[in-house]
Amino acid sequence: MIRLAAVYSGASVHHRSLRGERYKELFDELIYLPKLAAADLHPFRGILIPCRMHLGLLEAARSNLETYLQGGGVVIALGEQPMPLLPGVTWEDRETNFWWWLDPDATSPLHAPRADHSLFRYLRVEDATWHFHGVFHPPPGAEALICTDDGASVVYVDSVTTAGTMVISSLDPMYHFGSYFMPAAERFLDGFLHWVVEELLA
Amino acid sequence: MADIACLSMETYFQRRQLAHPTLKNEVDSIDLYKLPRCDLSRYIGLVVPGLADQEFLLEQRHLIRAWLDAGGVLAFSGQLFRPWLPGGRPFVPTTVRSFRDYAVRIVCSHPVFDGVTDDDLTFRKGVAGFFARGHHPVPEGAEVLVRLSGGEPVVYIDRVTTAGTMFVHAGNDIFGYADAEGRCARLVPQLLAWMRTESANRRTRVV
Repeated sequence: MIRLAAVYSGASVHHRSLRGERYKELFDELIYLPKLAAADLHPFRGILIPCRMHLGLLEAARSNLETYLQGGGVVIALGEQPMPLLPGVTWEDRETNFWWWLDPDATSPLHAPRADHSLFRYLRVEDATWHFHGVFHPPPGAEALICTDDGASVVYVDSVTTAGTMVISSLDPMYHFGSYFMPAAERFLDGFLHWVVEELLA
Repeated sequence: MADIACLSMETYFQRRQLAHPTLKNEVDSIDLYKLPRCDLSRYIGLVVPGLADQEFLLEQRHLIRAWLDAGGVLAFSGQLFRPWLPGGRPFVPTTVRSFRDYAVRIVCSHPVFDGVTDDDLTFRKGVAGFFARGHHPVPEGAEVLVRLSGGEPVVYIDRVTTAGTMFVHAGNDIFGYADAEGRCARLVPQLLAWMRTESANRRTRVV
């Protein structure tokens, strides 16, 4: 079985994130987004969907992804899902505070309810803290890994809604890494992608 | 129908951006993948966003080239990595040692930047780097409007490579300024107005 495929949109930010020197060894194959709906996903242990993708092309691939999940596949989805792409996903738009860190009294708006989770051997909550455009409300039985103070989630794992596993995050690290912007996004990807490969898909 | 089109990548944020009152009635949003079936001759201006699929644009580059050679005015903000844009060379990121490396200077007076200062472009709420974090090497004969502090060309206008005009900006979408506050709110209306004037001037020259 092939370990990890990433969906590639042809945008410069995804070109840098997926094909650039820093992370390219982690992706065994790239699936061009316009071909995702008809792609055979079964050879892959995991599929990563970056943030900032064409909503119509993702929508067209929804049933293919659902079939893959029902067969026990692993989908890692980054970024906003205003029209939920994956089963059990509930998205809520949040006003983005790009500037919270300019306030000297500010504290990070995020926390980890389960600090002993394997993800936190690879990254710190601070590495997930730049800004977020929305949150998810994980379904019962899912594991919320990085949460807002009001109980919503920006990273969670759902192994109950389908026969497979979904890692869902509202963060947009590939957009920011791909734009040469936001050092925290790079620290997040350093940890998160290695966690995906070394723990989630091990 | 508007006279300027944006080849939308149909992300959540792009859809919201193009629905903003500054853009909604000014620019037609066309799904990038519909480009081969679109009659571009209806448009005097074309805006290509930074998230555009450059693999697809490379396949369709003859359409862009033919439209430019018919006198079209194209604006692109982003990082080129495929040779779909005539004369365009790959994006070169700036090596950043301090926030000062992100400082930009408007080096040539131009209607798009009327009433906007260097610092307006460099900073948002005191944070540098929004306008550019690298550059595209400039085609011979193109005019440079904005440079980074190290001299790298951040915005150029190319009227020589094709029979049309290309406004090329190595940064996030200028349409991202549609909801900007202060002087930067002028950028989007001024870009659209300039594209129309440039097109009108081209037609006058051709006649």
